[in-house]
Amino acid sequence: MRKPNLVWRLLAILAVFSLIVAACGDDDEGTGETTTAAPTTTEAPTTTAAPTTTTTTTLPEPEGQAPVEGAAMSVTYNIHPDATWSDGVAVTAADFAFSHEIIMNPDLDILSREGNNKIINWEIIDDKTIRFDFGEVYAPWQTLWATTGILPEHELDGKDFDSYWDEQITLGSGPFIFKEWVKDQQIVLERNPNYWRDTFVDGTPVGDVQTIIIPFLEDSQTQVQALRGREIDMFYPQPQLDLVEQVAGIEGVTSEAGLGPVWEHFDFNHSDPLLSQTFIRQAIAKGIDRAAIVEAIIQPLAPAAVPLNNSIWMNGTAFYQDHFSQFDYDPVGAEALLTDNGCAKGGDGVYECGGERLSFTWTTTAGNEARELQFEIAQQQLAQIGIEVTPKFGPASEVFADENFYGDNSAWQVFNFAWVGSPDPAGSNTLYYCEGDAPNGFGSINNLRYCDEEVDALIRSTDGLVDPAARAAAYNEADEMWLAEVPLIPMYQKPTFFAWYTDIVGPADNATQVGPMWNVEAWTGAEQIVFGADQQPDSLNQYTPDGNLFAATLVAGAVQQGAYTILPDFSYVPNLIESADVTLYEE
Amino acid sequence: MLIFFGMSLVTDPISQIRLVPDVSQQTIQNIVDRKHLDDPVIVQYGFWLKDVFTNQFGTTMLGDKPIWPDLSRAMWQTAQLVLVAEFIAVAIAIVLGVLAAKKQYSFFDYATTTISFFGFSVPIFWFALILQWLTVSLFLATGFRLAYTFGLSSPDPANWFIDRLQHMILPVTALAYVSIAQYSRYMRSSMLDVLHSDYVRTAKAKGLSDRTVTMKHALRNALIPLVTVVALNVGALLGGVVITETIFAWPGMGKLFITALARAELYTLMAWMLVAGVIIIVFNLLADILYAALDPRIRYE
Repeated sequence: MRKPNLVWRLLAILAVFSLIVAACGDDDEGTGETTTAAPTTTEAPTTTAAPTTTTTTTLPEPEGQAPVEGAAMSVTYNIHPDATWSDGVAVTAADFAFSHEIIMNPDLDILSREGNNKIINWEIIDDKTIRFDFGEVYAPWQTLWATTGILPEHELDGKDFDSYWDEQITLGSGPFIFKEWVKDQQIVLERNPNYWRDTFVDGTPVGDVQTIIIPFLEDSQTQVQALRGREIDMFYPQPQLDLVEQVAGIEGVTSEAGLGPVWEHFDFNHSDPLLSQTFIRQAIAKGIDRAAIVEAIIQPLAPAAVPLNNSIWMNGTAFYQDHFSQFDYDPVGAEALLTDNGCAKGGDGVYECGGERLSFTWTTTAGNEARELQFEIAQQQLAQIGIEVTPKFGPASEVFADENFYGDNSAWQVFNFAWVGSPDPAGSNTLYYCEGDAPNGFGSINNLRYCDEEVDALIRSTDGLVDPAARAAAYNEADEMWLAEVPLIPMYQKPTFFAWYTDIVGPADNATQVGPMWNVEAWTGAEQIVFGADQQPDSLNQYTPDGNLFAATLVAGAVQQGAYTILPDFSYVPNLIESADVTLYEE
Repeated sequence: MLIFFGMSLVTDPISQIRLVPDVSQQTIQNIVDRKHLDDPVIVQYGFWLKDVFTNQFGTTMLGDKPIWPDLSRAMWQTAQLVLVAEFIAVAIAIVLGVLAAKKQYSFFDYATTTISFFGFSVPIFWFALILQWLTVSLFLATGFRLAYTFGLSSPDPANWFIDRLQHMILPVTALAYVSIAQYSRYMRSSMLDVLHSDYVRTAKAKGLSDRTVTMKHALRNALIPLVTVVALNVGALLGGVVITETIFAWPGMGKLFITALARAELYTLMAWMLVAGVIIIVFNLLADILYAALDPRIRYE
């Protein structure tokens, strides 16, 4: 990864300092609490300089009064004055408003409306300024249009959005434009001749890559051989040990392993009479050597990987705190917990508590080597402390079916899978909710059937905390309380793996949803690049439910731009906008 | 119907988006309504059946995309692969089988037997990977790209035909090798039976040349069991050569099936099964017709 020079570092420090001063100072214009969208680049370890384009602007709202009835918060986007679409038309406030209207159109199949569904009003201030008014304070407002692009009104208005961009992206604001999708073969992108920026958001000058070809090849061994024979220049496969070793042996190829917001965990079903008892869950946690599992399965792929000790903030990010190492491997302590609570070992070496054997089914996705291996390790370790687990594996379509996933202890007892998180944790809040629209009656992703009212209240409060530090503190307080009860065992962040030929300069892993194209405009060293993707997308439209396959992410990353983008350190930086201002209103 | 019921009972076709933490419930409901997922399975089956006959197998579960374009492309791409591979396999297997039978217990016979058993016993995925490795190694050593390791064709090829051939070499070789191993054994066995039959002995006694006896009298009759096996085999292969297509990223029926299965795309799976079933039935019928054409006794009976 390129390291910023001294000038950029100083500019970054100056920019962030000015933002902190602005955020902490009295706000004469706003009525409530005003916080400028300060990127968090200084709070997380990063080698990328903060953008210098973020500035504070004055909001036009009258003092002491919300712009519309019921508004609790406004976000005003100041669109970059140079931002244009690939046809040369300026990106305007109307495009932002149109994007919101598309997302909220109930007749369209939009994958997520989160955040947009809290907007009660919008107003175009001028061509390059738009204000969105929220009916409630929405702290994760930066997540709006960070992983999905702003849509061009003049191109899409009147078209059937559900289908028009399925097989083509006719217009974009990114450094590349979509050229063609030859079905079953490849997608071709070309340099955007009207690209509006001279540098990437971190100041790196734009590169000279003219064409990107994305062919589809699923088998990992084929990917390796294709890379070895330079039929492809780079790929981003699911990391496996033998694949990583083979790539390391290819001359001229370098690779990077990243740790993203996808985290593996062992869940407990709290409808189970035994697993609903805290000391049993704690004993299981202490009986599993997470460090050994990480060392055996993950570190060969990503040497920096360590057990995850927080269920909300990922390791290495600004707000990460250790809340789970208290349950590090301690087999003696685990057995002590059991015996202290009246459990006794049966003749077969398995403990019985209240006459019930500590024997549980262990569900995971069949055919996943890493999960089967970590089950075997956990099974052996738990057997040593007198707890039995037996496999109950099944295909993903079966184990994640509602009837099983949200089922009671007759469906599953211990369940190993991974949550696909996000740099901003708000999307996973419902995991902690005691009530919600999940088939089991809990929060929509609370398959655990675990409820802690205090944690629930704390997590719900975070949506109203715009101040990043206060919000993070609330999250961490909730996480500490939650993990102390061991409703699940957080294991580790799943690594990503990115390999490319070193004559191409600029690629670097970004393990967030933005993906490896995050800085594609800065790549140099080749006129044409072939980026092997695992499979053909169903749709190129990232807004729709079937537009989330990897190849579609690659296309979107190069062709479309959102208000913000996310850097590898999980920080949000302005992309299509110059800055954004948040205003909170008194009730 | 059994498959539809079975799949509907054990899988949740929209499970992959249900687990997106902030998924829109409105969109889920749109899909549920569009695909009648709240109705009893028998009603869903009825809607599917209606789509099969009136709407070219209908649309996919999540994206509401028409199934037929993908399915028809996959059929054509698998057909290219299988027909070329089987044509080559049959041609080579006949030569090998006839020569092995004619030179029974010779070095050539033992050699073809050994190679055939190797073909029977080697897993095709391993053989395919070896082919890829050898091809890439050849390229790295000489700079000459004999074949590509994946896909249908290159972007903007200088010569479309040669480029397609370069992409077909490896999957066709992998498929043909396994078929050659099987067919050559049938051919040898069948040829031996015929060569020891009375009418061949009579033909030889009449003074016909060995070539005439072999080619005109023995071969035609020896082909009868092979034709049956090939017709049945081609029918099964056209349904998709899952491993070969996956390894060589050949977007055919096998790849379509695996992808649909992984995504629990019930309607695509059902369309695949229906088409694959029809292909197998057609080729079974074809085998019977060819059998009758080659063996006059069948017609008379």
